[in-house]
Amino acid sequence: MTADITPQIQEQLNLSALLLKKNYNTADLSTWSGFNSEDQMQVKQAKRLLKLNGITSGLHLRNSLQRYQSGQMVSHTFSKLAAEFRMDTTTSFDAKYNAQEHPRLKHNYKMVWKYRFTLKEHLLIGYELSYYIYLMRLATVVGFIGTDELLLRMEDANETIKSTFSSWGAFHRNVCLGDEFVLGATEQDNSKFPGSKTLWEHYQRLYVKHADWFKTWNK
Amino acid sequence: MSVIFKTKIDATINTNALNPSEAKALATTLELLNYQDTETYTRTKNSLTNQSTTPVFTNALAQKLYYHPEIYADQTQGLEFVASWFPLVDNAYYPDKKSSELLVTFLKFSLSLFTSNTITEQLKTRVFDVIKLLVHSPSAASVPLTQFLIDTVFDTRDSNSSAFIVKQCLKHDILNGLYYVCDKNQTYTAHYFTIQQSFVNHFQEGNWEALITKIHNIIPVGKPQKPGAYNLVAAWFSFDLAQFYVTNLEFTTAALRAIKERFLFIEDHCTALLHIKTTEGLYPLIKTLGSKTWDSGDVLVFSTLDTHIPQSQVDACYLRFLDWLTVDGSSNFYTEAFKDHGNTILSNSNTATLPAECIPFWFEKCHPKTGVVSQTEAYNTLFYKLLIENTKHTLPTLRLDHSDFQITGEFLITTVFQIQHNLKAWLEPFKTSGIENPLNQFLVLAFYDAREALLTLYNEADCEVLQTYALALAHTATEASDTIKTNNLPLLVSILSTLCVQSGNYTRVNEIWALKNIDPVIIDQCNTFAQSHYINIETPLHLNVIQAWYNFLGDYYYSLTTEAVWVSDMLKTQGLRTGLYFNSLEDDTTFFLNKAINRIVHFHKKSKQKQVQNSVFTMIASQIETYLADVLEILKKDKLDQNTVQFLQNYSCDETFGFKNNTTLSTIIQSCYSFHFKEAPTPEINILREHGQLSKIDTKDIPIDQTTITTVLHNLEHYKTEGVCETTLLQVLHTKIDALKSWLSQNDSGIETQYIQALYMTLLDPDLAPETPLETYGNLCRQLFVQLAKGSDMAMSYALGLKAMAHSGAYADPLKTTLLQVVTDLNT
Repeated sequence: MTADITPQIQEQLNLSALLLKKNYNTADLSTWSGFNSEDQMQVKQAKRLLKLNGITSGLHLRNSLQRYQSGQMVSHTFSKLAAEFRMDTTTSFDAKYNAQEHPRLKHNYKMVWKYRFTLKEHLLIGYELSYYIYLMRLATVVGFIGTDELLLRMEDANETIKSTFSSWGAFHRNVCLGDEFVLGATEQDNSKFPGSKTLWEHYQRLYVKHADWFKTWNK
Repeated sequence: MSVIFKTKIDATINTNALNPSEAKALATTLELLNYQDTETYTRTKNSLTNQSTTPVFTNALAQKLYYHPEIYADQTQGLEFVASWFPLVDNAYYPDKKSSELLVTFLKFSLSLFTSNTITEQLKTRVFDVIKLLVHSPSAASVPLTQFLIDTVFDTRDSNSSAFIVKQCLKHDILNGLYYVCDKNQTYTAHYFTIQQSFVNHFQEGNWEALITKIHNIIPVGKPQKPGAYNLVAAWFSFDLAQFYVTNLEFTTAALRAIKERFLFIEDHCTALLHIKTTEGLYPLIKTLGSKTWDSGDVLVFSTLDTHIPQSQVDACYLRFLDWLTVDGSSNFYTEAFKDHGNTILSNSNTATLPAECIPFWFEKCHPKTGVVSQTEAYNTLFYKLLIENTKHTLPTLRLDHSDFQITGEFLITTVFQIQHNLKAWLEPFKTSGIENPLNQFLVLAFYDAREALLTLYNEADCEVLQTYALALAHTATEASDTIKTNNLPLLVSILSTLCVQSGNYTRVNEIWALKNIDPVIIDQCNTFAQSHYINIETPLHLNVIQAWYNFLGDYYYSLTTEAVWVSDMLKTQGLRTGLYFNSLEDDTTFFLNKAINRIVHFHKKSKQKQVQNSVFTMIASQIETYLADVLEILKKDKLDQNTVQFLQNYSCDETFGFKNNTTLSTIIQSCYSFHFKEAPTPEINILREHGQLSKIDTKDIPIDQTTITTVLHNLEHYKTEGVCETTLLQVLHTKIDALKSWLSQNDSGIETQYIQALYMTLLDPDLAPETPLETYGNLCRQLFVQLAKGSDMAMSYALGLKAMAHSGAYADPLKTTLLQVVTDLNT
C-alpha cells in the first residue's frame, strides 16, 4: 500500500472494523486490509473469504460492490417485505409467517416484521456499506483493487453513512441487524467453529480495545 | 626367392620340348624369379638363337611352372610354392586352367593348416598377395579362385575358415573391384564384384535365390566390433539386387530378419542392405518394414534409418511404430527397445516426418481418464515439443496419406476426434486437468484454428459447453507458468469472443471480460470484447444495457478510468443513440431518466471536486458533459419530468460544479427548462395572485393552472352570494381557450361538467343579461360556454334546454334573443 493511513482514512476504514473482525479475528485494524500480504497463510485466508463472496476477479469485485452500494444485496429484499408487512395486521402476518416452512425465511419474516417501521427509511444500508468497505479491504490483499480506488469509493460510502446515521452506535446497530438478517439469528456453533465469536462479542471487544475510535461521529 | 623352384622344379623342366618363343618366355620368367644361375636358365638362354623371338607364355609352359601336385603333397611346402609365384603373376605370367584348378583343390585341402598358427603371418600375407593378383587379373585362375573364396566365405559350417578368408579378403581388399572371365574365344572380360545376373551366373549357377539366402545367412555372423562377411558382401550390393527384392518381396522379410539378428548378436547396423534401392529410388526393405507387424527388432532397424529416404516411403513405418506402441496394452513402452531407440525416434522426429495419426495416439495414451498414467509424462513431453512448442498459434503440418497435410481445427474435430455430437462428454475429463496439460493446449490450438467454423459445426448447446470449457481452462492458467499464459490465454479469449456472439448474455460477457485479471497479456483483448458487447451498434439498445452503462460509469470513475475502459467510448459516442432510444419508447421513462441523470451528475460533481488532484477527473467530467449534451439535445423534452429538469437546471447554474463553462450543454438545459416551465408561474405572479392583485399582472403572464381554473369556478358558482364578478380571469380563459380545454380534458375529476353547468346557470341569470350592469361578465360567460360546450356530448341537450327556456316567456326580449343566439352558436 502506497499511501499513508491518515486519521481521516482510519476513521473511514473503521466503518468496516466490526465485519472484518468477525470474519477474520486476527485482523490488524490499523492497516489497509487487516491482512499481512507478506504472510502466505493470511493471503490464502483473504482469498478464501473473497471466494466465499463469489469474487474471483476485479470485475466480480466491482459487480459485488455495485450491488452492495445500490442496496440490491440486502435492502431491496428487506424493503419489499417491509412494505408488504406494513399493510398487514398481526393476524394476517401470522398467517404468512406460519405458511413459510424454511427456518431461514421464517427468521427473515420475523425480523422484517419487527423492524418494518423503524428501518423503513434507513433499511440496511449501514450494513451494506460496511460490507462494501470490508470487501474492498479484502480485495486489496490480492490486488483486485488499488488504494486510489479504495479511497474514492470509501469516501463516497463514508458520506452516505455519515449522512444517514447519527452516531457510531446507530450505525453499528444497523450493521448488526444486517448481519443477523443475512446470516440468520442462529449463533455459530462453537463446537464446529472453535474460537469463533458472535458479532455481538466482537462488538463489545471492539469498543473495549479501541474505545477512542468510536466516540465521535465526524460528519 | 624360394629354394623350392631350384630344388624341385628346375629338374623337371624339359627345355627341349619348348619352341623358341616358349623358351624366351621361360627365360624371362626365370629372370623374374632371379634364377639366372640355374642350369635351366643357362640352357634355355643358350637355345635362344634369335634374339628377336617374341616370348609366348603357353599353357604348356604354365603347367611346367605351376602344375606340380607333388609339391602340394607337403602343405607347407605347397603354400610356400604358391607364395613364390608372386613375381611371375605380378608380371602377367598366369597359371593355366589346369594349374588353377589344382591350386584351388590344394587350397581347399590345406585350408585348416593355412588358417592355423603353424603358418606364419608373413607366409599368409604372401600367399594372399598372389591370390589377390590372380583373382583380379585376366587369368584362368580368377573365376575358380573367386568361387573358392566366395564358397568359403558363405560356408557358415566352417566358421573358422570362413572367418579367416573374410579377414584376409578384407585385409587385402580381395573380392572387390574386378574379376575376369574367359569366354569361348579365350579372351578375358572384366566383371565387377556386384550382384547382377552375370555375377550370379558365374558363381551361383544363375540361382539368385540361393545367393541371396546365403548372403542372409552370413549377415548375423561375425564378432562384435569386428568386420565380418557382411562387410565383404556389402560392397557387392547393387540396383539389381534391389530390383530382385522388389520382385521377390518374400526375401525382404528374411533380409530384415537377418539385419535384426546381426544387430542383436554383434550390435552392428546393416545400413547398406537396409538402404538398398532400385534405380527408380524404391527402397524394398523399407517398404516391407512399413507393411509388416513390428517387434522390438524392427524398432531398432527403424531407428537406424537414413534421413534422406523419401518421406513417402517411410510414412508407413511411423504408423507401424505407433501400432507397435499400442499393441499388448501398450506394454512395449517399457521395453529396452523403446527406452533406447523408440524414444529417440520420436524425439528426433519433426512435424515433417510425423504422421497425423500420432494425434489420436497421443490423446489415447495421455487421456486424463483412460490414459496410461506411467506413460503420460513421457508422451506429453515428447508431443508437446513436437506439436505445440514452436507453433506460434498454428496447428502443425503433419504427414497424411503420403503427403504433407496442414492440420486444421475442423479436421481434428470432425475426423480425428469425431466430436461433433458428443462434445460435452468428450471434453469433461480434459476440463478438469487444466491448461498445464499439453493435450488441453493442443485442444486450445485446435478450437482456435477452427474458431470461425465452430459456430457452424456446433449447435447452441455445444457452443455453450465449449465456452464453459474455455473459461475453466482460462481460470486454471492462474497458477500456470508465464509461457503457458502468454501462449494460451489470448487464444482462449479469441475462442470465447468468437463463440459468444449473441448479444444479451451479459453474465457470460462479464465472465469473459473478467479473465483480464488473470494476466496482463489479455487485458486489451478482454476490454475490446466487452466493449463490442456493451457498445454494439448492430443490435438495438435495451434499457438494461443503458443501466449497465451507468453502473459501469461508477467503476470507470472510481478506478480513475483504468476499469471499464469502454465507458470512455460510451460517453463520447453513445449520447445521441441514447436520446433516440428514449424517444422511441412509448413507456414513461421519467423515473429511470431521473435516476440516471442523478447518477451521472453525481459523478460529474465528484469529478469536478477532485479535478485539482488529478487531471483524469477533468477528463471524466468533460466526457460526462459530452454525453449529457448529446442525450439532452436529441431527447424529446417531454421525456423528462419537471423535477429532473429543475435538478439539472439548478446543477447547471451551480457556480462551483455546474456547466457554466460548457455553453452548449447549459444552453440545451436552459431550453429544456424553458420548455417545462414557460407557463409555470414565476414566484412573483403567485404572490400577486395570492393577494388578489391581478390588475398588476399582465394577463398574458397568467397561466392556465389549477389556481386560475378553480378560482374562476368558485367565482362562477358564488358570484351571486359573494357579489364578485371578476372578468380578468374569465378574459384569460377566453383567450387561452385551447390550454383550458386540454387542461380540463386531462383532469378526470368531473371539473369540466362542473364548469359547463356553472356557465349554463349564468346564461339563465337575468342579472347578467344584456343591457344590465353585469353585461360584460355575462357576455364572457356566454362566449366561454359556447366554446366549451360546443362539440361536446351534451351540446344538443343544452341547446334544446336553452331553446325551451327562451320560448318559455320568462325572459325579457334582450335575454331571449341572446339565448337563441347561443343556441344558434351551439348548433353551427
